[in-house]
Amino acid sequence: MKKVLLSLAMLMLLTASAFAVPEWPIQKYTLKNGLTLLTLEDSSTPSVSFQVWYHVGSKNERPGITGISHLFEHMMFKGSKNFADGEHDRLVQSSGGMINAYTSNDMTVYHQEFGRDQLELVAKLEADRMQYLTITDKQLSSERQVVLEERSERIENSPFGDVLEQLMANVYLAHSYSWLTIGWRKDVENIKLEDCLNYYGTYYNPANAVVVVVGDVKSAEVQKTIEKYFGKIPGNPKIPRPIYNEPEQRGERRISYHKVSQLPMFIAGYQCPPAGHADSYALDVLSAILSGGESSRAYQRMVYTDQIAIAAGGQYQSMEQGGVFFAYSMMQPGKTTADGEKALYEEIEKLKNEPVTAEELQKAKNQIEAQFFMGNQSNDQKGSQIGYFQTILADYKLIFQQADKYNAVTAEDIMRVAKTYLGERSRTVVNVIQENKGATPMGM
Amino acid sequence: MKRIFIFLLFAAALLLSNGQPILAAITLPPMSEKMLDNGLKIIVVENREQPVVSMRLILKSGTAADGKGKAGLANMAAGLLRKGTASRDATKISEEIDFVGGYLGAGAGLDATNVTAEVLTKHFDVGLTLLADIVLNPTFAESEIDRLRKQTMAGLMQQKDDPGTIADLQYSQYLFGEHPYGQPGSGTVESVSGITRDDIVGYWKSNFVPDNAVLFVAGDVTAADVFPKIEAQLGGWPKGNVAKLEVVPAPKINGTRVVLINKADATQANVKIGHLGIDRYNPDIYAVRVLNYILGGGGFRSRLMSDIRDKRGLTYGINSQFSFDRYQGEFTVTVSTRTDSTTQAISATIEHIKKIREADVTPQELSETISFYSGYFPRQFETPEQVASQLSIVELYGLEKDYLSKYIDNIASVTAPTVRAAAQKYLDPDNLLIVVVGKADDLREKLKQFGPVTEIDLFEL
Repeated sequence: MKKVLLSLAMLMLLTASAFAVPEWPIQKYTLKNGLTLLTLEDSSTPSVSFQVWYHVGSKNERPGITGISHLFEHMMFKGSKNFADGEHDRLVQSSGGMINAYTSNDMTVYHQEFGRDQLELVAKLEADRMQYLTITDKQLSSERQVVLEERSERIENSPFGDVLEQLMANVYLAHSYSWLTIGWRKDVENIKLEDCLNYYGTYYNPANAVVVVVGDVKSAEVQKTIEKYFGKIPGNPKIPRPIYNEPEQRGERRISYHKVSQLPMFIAGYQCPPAGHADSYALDVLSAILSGGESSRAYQRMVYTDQIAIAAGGQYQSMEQGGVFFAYSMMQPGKTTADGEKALYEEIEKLKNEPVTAEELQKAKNQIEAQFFMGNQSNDQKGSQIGYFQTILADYKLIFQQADKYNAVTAEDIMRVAKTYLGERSRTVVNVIQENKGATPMGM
Repeated sequence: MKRIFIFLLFAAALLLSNGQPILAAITLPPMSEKMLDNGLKIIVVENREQPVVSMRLILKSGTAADGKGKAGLANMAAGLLRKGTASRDATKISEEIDFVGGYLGAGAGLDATNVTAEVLTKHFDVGLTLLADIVLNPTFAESEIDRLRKQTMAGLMQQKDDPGTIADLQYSQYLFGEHPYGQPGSGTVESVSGITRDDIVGYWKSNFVPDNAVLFVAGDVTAADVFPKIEAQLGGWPKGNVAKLEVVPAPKINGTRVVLINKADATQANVKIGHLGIDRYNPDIYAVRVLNYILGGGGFRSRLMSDIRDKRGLTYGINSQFSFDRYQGEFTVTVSTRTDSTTQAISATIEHIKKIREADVTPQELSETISFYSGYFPRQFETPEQVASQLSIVELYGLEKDYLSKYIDNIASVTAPTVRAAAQKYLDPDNLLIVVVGKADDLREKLKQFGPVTEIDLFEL
C-alpha cells in the first residue's frame, strides 16, 4: 500500500514538474573595441564578483608549447606597467577582496570578489594587465618551477591525474584536447619568454574577452567604469581559432598504464558532441540515469548489490569543440577491472536496447533542475554561468533556454544517443596495471 | 609618468584608509529561533533568492567521541543513517531523495556530526521527512554494516595512493597521540573490522538526542511555515543526556622530531610542520588569527607564500593554519615540494616561524590584515548555507551571542605587540613535529639535520 502511495506521489510530481529557469535581468554592453560586458545587479550582500573571461585555453596550443595557457595565467600576476609584481594581489586582498584564476581547455578566467568600493580599483588592475603586462625571464623561470610543482601535485603524484592524462591523449589523436591544460612536463620546462609574449599579443585583447560583473553595484556605474578603463585598449577581432580536426574513431583503443595503485581501476572515454549540441542534453540526462545518486543504475548494481566496486559511473563532459563520455570504476580489492568493464558496459548496452522508465527519466530531469538552482546561489556562481555561456556558446541567453531542452528529452532520445555515441568502436580504455606490493588486500 | 604619479596617490590613499579601516557591518538575513520541549533548537534563516532550502542538523558529538580503539565509529554511524529505517530500506531512501534531485547525507568531524538535506523549495517536505526518518529510526542492519565496512576498508587502502591524505593522518596521530583527536576519523583497518553493531547502536543512542542538537533550516522558507512541520516530525524525539567527554590534554613535543613515511614512487614530498595550538575558547584567538594570516594564512599575501612560492619557486602552495577545536587546537604548516628541495622548504619555514617571534609585524602587514578581515568577513554571509554555517559555529561551541557582530572589532583591536606576544606564546620553532611523505632513500639522511627521524614504510601502516 505504501508503495502505491509513493508512486502516486511521484506521478503527481511527474505531471507538474517541467522545469523553468526565470530569466536573470542581465544587461549586455559591447565596447567599440569588441569587449563584451555583462552585468547582473544583486544588492542582497555587500559583495561583487568581477570576472574576466579570455576565450583562449589549451585548445589553442600546439605540440611544443602545451601548457602555455596555464603557465601564462600565472604570469598575469607578475606585474604590469602601472602595478609592480604582487601589487594586484596586495591591493585586492588588503581591501578584503579575494582573487584567483583558472584555465581550462577552452578559456582562461580571472576572478575576484570584493566590496562595491573596489570596483574601480579592480577594473583598473584588469585593464592594465590586459594591455601592459611586464614580464621578465627571471619571473618566468621562477613561475615555471611553481607550475612544475603544480603538475607534480595534480598529475604525477596524484592517484588519478596521470590516468586521465593518458586517457585524453588516446581519445584524441589529432585535436588539441589531447593534452590536459597543465601541459606535458617537457613542454612546460621549455616554454620561452618569447612564446609567452606572442601568446599574450595574440589572445589577450578586448575583442577576445568577456567581463562579467555580478553583485552589489549598479549596471550603469559598471558600464561607465569599464568604458573608462578598457575603452581605449585596441581590439583585434582576428583571433586564430583551431578547427575540429579529430578523425572518426574506428575501433576500440586499449591502453595499459602501469602505476602504484592500491585498487584496480579503469577509465574509458567515448568521443561525444560538443557543448550546446542538440544531443548534449540527452547525454546529460543519460549520465544522471547511469550515475546520479545512490539510486542510479551503476551505483545500484556495482557498488550496492554486487559490491564489486567502491565507485562506478558514467558522465558526459562537454567542451567547446567536442565532448567525452567518461565511464569508470574503482574496484573492491580482489575484483578486476575486467569485472568492472563487463558490468558497466552491460549497463550501457541496456540503455541502448531498453527504454528507461518514465520515473527514471523524470528523476534525472529533476536532478538537473535541482543542480541548476543549487549551483547558482552566489554572485560568483552566477557570474561563472554567465561567463561560460557567453564565451563558449556565444550567448548568455542560452542559460534560460536549457530547461526546455532538458524537458524535451524522451526515452527514445536516450536510446538513440547511447547507440550513436557509446559504441565499442569509439571507445578508448585505460586500464591501470597495479605496480605495487600493496596489491593484495590488507588483512585478507 | 603622470599615470604613475596618479597611481602613487591612489595607493597612498588606500594605505591611509587601511591605517584606519572603516569597519563594515554584517547584515544578516531575517532569522527566527525556537526551542522544542525536548531541547531541540531550531534556527531558520530566510533567503528567497533561489528556490532552494538546506537543512542541517548538527549534533555536538563527533569523532572525538569514537572511544579508544573504535576509530571510525562516529562516521560509520553517520554513514549508516541513510542505509535503512524502520519504514524505508536503503534503496528506497536513495530513490526518494534522488527523485527530487536532492542531497541527503551525514558525516562526522572532530567535534560535530552533520546530517544534511538540501532540496528545492517545492520538495521541502520530502527533505524534512527523510532527514527526520534517518535520524530517528535507523535500523543499522547487519548486512548494511558489512557493506559499509567493506567499502570503508577499501577506501582506507585507496587513501594510501594520496600522499596529502597520508600526511594529514600521520601528522594528527603523532601530534595528538592518545588524545581523541589523534585517532583517524575514517578509522583504521583494525578498528573498522572490530566495530560491532552494538557499538554503532550504542553511539547513536547516546549521541543522537535532541538536547545535543541544533537544526538549521536556511533558504526559501518562512519560519511560520516550517516550525510546525519540524515540530510534527521531530517533536517526539526523546530527550537524552550526553555524557561529557573526559579529555586529557595531548602531550607537548619535546625537541623537534621527524616522521618520514616512505612512498617509494613519489617525486614530491608532502610535508606538515607544527605543534599543538590553542582551543576555541582561548582569549588570544584574534591575535592568533592575525598572526597566522601574516605568516601563512593570507593566501598569496602571506610571508610563506611570497617567499617559498613566489621568490623561490619551491612549491605550488604553502599555508599555515591554526585550528580551533573544542578540546585542543593545532598549528600546522602544509607544503609539498619536489624531493630535492624538501629540506630547503622546511628550513625556510622554520626561519619564518622564528622571525615572526623575533620582531613586530610591520604596520603595513597589520593594517592590510585588518582591512582584509573587515572586507572579507561580511561577504561570508552571502548564501543561506553560508549564514547557517557561520551561525553553527556559535551554536556548536556555545559562543557569545555577539560573536559574529564583534568579530571584525575584535580583529581590528589587535596590535603589532599583541601579535608578537602571541607568536612567542604559541609558536615554538624548537619543538616541532615534522611529517614527511616521500621517497625515503633520498630524504632520510638530509632530514636528520632537523631532529631524530622515525621512518615508516607506507605499506606497514
